[in-house]
Amino acid sequence: MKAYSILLLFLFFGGIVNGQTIEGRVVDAQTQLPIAFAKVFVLELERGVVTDSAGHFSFSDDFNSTLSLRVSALSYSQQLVSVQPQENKPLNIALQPEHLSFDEVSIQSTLGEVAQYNIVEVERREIAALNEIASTDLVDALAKIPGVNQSKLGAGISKPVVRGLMGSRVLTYLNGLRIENQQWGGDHGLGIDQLGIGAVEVIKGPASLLYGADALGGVIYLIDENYAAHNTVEVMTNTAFESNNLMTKNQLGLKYGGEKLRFNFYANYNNAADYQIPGGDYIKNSRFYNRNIKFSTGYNTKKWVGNLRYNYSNARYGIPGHTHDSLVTYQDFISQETSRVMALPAQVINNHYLLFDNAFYFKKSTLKVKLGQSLNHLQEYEEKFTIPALSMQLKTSSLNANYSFKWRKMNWVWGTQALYQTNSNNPAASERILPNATQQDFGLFALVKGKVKGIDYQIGARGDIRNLRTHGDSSINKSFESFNYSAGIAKQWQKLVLRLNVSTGFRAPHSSELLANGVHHGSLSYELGDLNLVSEKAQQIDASVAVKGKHIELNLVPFYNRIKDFIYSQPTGEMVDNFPLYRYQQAQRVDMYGTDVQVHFHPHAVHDLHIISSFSYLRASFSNQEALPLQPQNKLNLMASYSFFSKRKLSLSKFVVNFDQFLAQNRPGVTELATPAFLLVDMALHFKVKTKQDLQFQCGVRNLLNESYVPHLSKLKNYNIPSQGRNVYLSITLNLKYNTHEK
Amino acid sequence: MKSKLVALAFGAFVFASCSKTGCHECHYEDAQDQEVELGEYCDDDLEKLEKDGYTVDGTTHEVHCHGH
Repeated sequence: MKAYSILLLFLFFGGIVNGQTIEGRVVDAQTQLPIAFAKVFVLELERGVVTDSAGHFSFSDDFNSTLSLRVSALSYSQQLVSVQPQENKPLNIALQPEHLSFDEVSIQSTLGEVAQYNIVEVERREIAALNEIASTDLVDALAKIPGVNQSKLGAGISKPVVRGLMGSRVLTYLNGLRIENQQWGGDHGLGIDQLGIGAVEVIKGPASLLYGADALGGVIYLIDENYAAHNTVEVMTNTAFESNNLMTKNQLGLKYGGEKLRFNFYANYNNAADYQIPGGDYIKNSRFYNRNIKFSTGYNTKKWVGNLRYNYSNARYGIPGHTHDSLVTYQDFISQETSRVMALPAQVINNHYLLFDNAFYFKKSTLKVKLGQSLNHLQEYEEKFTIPALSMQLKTSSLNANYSFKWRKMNWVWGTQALYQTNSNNPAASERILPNATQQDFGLFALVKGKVKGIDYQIGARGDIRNLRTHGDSSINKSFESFNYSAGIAKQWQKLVLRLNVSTGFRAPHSSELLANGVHHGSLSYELGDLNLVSEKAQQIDASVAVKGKHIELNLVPFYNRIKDFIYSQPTGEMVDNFPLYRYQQAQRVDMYGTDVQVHFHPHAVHDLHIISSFSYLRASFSNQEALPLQPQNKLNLMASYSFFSKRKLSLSKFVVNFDQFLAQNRPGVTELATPAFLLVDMALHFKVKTKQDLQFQCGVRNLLNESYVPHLSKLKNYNIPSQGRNVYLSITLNLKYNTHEK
Repeated sequence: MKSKLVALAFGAFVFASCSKTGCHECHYEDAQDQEVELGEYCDDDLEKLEKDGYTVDGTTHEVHCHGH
């Protein structure tokens, strides 16, 4: 214990002396003129500074290892600069003028948490960029990324769908913490708010090499907002209102950046009444609220960077489209008036996510260790307001460690992941869909990256074991082993990048698929598992071609994903307890193929105009060519934005318009109905008020044409209940910034 | 100072909205399957009624406090 205390003291105070000062200048590579307001961001410390009007920047820190500076500025290509410790001469960083900004056009340009370990295409987006037209929630924002869709239940519950796969086939990480919150349930939302999230990186397709079991369909990796710069305090408040469901959103953020210590704190509260559909009616019990608190703090010494992060969320979601009547009509689900009063049935969810994130920087290697603890408490209220029908607590402890070093001009990463999880039912609850269970995961992996004759390569392998034990009457003890690999190459020319990658993934059957035997009110079904299910195995080959022209950029990403022993549930046609019986079963093989195409048009003659268009195509079939159920509609997107610059006190700063053409889904699963095409048009106006502080307004409208539509992946499709009609919103943001050293 | 006031006001707003389950009209079904209204029950009283049911002439009826 004493040794640990000494180690801790060393970590905290060991580097107070011998700090280093980094200073330099950022200039235009062509004209050598200084670039003002360029961002110089230190990847290791998650904080940065902004250049002054002469392009200068400077900061001091005790951190005494190699620093990676990501330098970026508007209309310039970003650059990664490596700074050795005690390198005391000022830096001169020259950025190339750049008008287009697809990250995919450079192998290293994303420099993200996920991208640094992957040669495969990783889509990185800033959350602010996904909210140029404000999204209703985080999943709504993610669904703007090509190849990502959402499955919704009403307006509040939504989960991401990556290339046609969702739930326990898509892993979500929050700063390296694996999010475990009963994602197997079709009606269980993502459970994470946009609050304090800065960016997202998405891997589409299997990625078990780095993420282990369940990373079969993709990985969504969420990254917190940066800390404030040294000696800075930032306060952010935002309030927003949406007309369709009278939704109010209120948010507060506080960031403090000291010499060594820094922290971020956020809180918000969102409340929505029943939503309105075209025609003026409201969908009963689609009301919800959620509130979130988020705190993170960072500290570093000469060789160590640590971050402690905590997220808490509490939410109550009404479950619309619910009835016990034997004769169901559409009228049962609609009302002529809206309400916020909490009704039944409803989900009440509490999540606690805690992560202690450490990085140790040695002379020629780095060790990263992430220790996580999460608690998800899911309650479903069916007949009574105070006694839940279903109440489960899912506790998860996780370890994620990797050691990276250079050897023989190659970059090596060795890593391990372990997880211990318990699911327990509250005895007071009247229903039990999953048994009390314990799950243990352990995995080891190694990967190597390098460059031969101008071709980047990466190859890696991994072994995993999962043990699942259930307790009680239906006790089982099963283990699932798996071996996975990934291999890829990439070649970058000045205006062209080519990538080719093969990767595998696996997913052990979830306890719900093995042992479910009960009514699941959220999905309006009686679910029955099968103990004989085996692990799903996926193998994907994907390529990407990114071409960069003077005014236009193109990115083409074709893929083919083959999944063996695919687990799915199918209605049997029988009724149990007045609910349709769904039985889990396994298909020998599923083939999924398609492509994402993105085009970014940015003519130099109209410098402030950006037009980005994308098309996502997916076809998924069983081996007998029958269509796989729950597949998203193919989508054509076009977004245009124009920025304005004015010296007026109140000025329009940006205009954005977005068109989403969802094509008809004419290949439904055998138990589904086809979905017709529909067009959604959204637009937004951004205003700035010139004051001492940063005051911004955004107003806009989603579903401008008041289109009545039922997405193919809506959980309310069976009853043909439309999604939200026209939705006008107004958002006001005030950002305050102080330098703690200025008097 | 202004920032502190904003933070305080927001905190008060968020946590003031932390109400319990609220009030609901409750009923039970008698032997003839007829709904018998019990009126409005709130918070702890509601919890007790849902847990224990409503007893009439020695018979305990299950209580429902919503309509769907």
